[in-house]
Amino acid sequence: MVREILTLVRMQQRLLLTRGRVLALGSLGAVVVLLAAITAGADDPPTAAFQLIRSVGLAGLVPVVSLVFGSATLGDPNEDGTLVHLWLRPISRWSLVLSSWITASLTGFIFATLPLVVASAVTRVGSSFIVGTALSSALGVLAYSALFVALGLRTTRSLAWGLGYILLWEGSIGQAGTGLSRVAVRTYTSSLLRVFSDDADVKIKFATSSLGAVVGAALASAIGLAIGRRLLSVIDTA
Amino acid sequence: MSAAESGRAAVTPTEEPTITFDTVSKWFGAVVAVSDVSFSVWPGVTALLGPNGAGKSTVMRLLCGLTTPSKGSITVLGHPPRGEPELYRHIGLVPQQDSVFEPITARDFVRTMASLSGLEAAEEAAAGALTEVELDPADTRPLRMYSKGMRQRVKIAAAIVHRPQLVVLDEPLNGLDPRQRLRMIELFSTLGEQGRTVVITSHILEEVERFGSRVIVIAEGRLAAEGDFHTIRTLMDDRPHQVRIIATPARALAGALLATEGVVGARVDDQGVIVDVTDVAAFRRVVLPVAQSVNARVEAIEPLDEDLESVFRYLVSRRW
Repeated sequence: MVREILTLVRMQQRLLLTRGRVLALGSLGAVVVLLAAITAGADDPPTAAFQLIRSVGLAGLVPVVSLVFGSATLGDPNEDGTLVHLWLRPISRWSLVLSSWITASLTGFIFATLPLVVASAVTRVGSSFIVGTALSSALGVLAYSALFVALGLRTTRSLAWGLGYILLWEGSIGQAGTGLSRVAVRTYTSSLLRVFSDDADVKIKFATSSLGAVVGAALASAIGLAIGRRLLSVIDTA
Repeated sequence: MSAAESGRAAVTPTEEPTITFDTVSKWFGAVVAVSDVSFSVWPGVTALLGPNGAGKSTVMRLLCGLTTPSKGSITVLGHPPRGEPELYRHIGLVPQQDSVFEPITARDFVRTMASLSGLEAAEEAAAGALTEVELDPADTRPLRMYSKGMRQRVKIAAAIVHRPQLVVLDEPLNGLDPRQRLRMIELFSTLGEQGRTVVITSHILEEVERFGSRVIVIAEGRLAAEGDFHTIRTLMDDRPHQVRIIATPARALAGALLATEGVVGARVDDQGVIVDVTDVAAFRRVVLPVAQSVNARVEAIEPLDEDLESVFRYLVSRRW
């Protein structure tokens, strides 16, 4: 299974990194770093930096990058008919889903986590904040990628549905109450970042402990992967 | 090196059919793509013949497990084709659609497919399969730069690289030039002679003739005929043909033609007479003398149903 996954990851990585995606998402990352440089001159750098990484990074860059790559790993092949080449090989459906998740996550680390780490370093708040940014964004990439891999298999309009989910659920409904916030990935990433941002003068509504954040994100990932596995088994391949 | 890796080992022929369709139907919403189809396929080359939209590709997808039947059951190598990925070690498919992984090279593509099929010597197997379809394994161009014919051959290489027992090819000769067609037909025949089961779809009768194979005819989602090529060809040639004769007076000519040998029916329409004949060539020889005998002036004689679709329609109507 490990060999299958490695083979698939190698190929999926090459399919995923189109020039358009690299340029568009690379530019987004660069914009966040630029904003961080501006933030470094703010009156209260720790608070401004926290707000920037939380609002622009964890709520924007991380889910958007994960959506683009996550939904494309299996969604693109399903749409253009190339999925059949992978589907009709003696590999477990879990291998296909896991490799897609790993591929999307690795790419997400490069295009979301890395720029956010650079951005947090540029704010000069401290090493703890950089670690917090790295961990929280990586957690977000893993959870969102799993959900969006499944979404890519479920619909051909995954970008529209994914953006709707990010804006409406994660950004609005998921922040409307304690219960609802527990099923929003943003709650986990923000909570984890807060743990590493002692200097910042901010409070987060519906925050959870770092253990709760990790468990919540792991659950979201598991649910996304299970749905993806299920969809691969029942899907009509072109 | 295992038999599969050596790439040349023949599969032991079996008495059991490789594929069994038992009263299989498939519908998509209100559209019935395949209706109550039953047939069996044994090792060797079998052609699935039928006009475009007849349901051939759906049959291919069903037998590879890419979609599930709405009714009936399918067995491939003794197993249902869906839900057992291990079975795909023994199946190779050339899908009809042109899509391949565009950014990678042919060698990378075929090697990846070989590796995913469990071959240890994937690199060598990929090079061998590409050479077999007359492509250069050392070509460093990405697949997006390949012509339709080259992509088709890459797909064939990917389908046979792991030496499967069952090779399923959906319109595999599309986009190939005549020389490549001959080469591929030769390759498919060789695979069949090795004891593998090769199923090829086509909508071109002459193409199927070259496979020299058993034929299953699908039309309007139904099994229209099955047998060896010569049986099917005879069935097709023996059917009544329709010929339109533009002539005046049409009614008198129709009456006279009905009494002529080989004419099984005649009716008058606004353009002339439409007759059903068993032998078009013989009919052409007698039509003018008959017309003369009733003082009819013939302006044109044209066959109405020489296209393959009408042949398939006839086969379906004959069976149902």
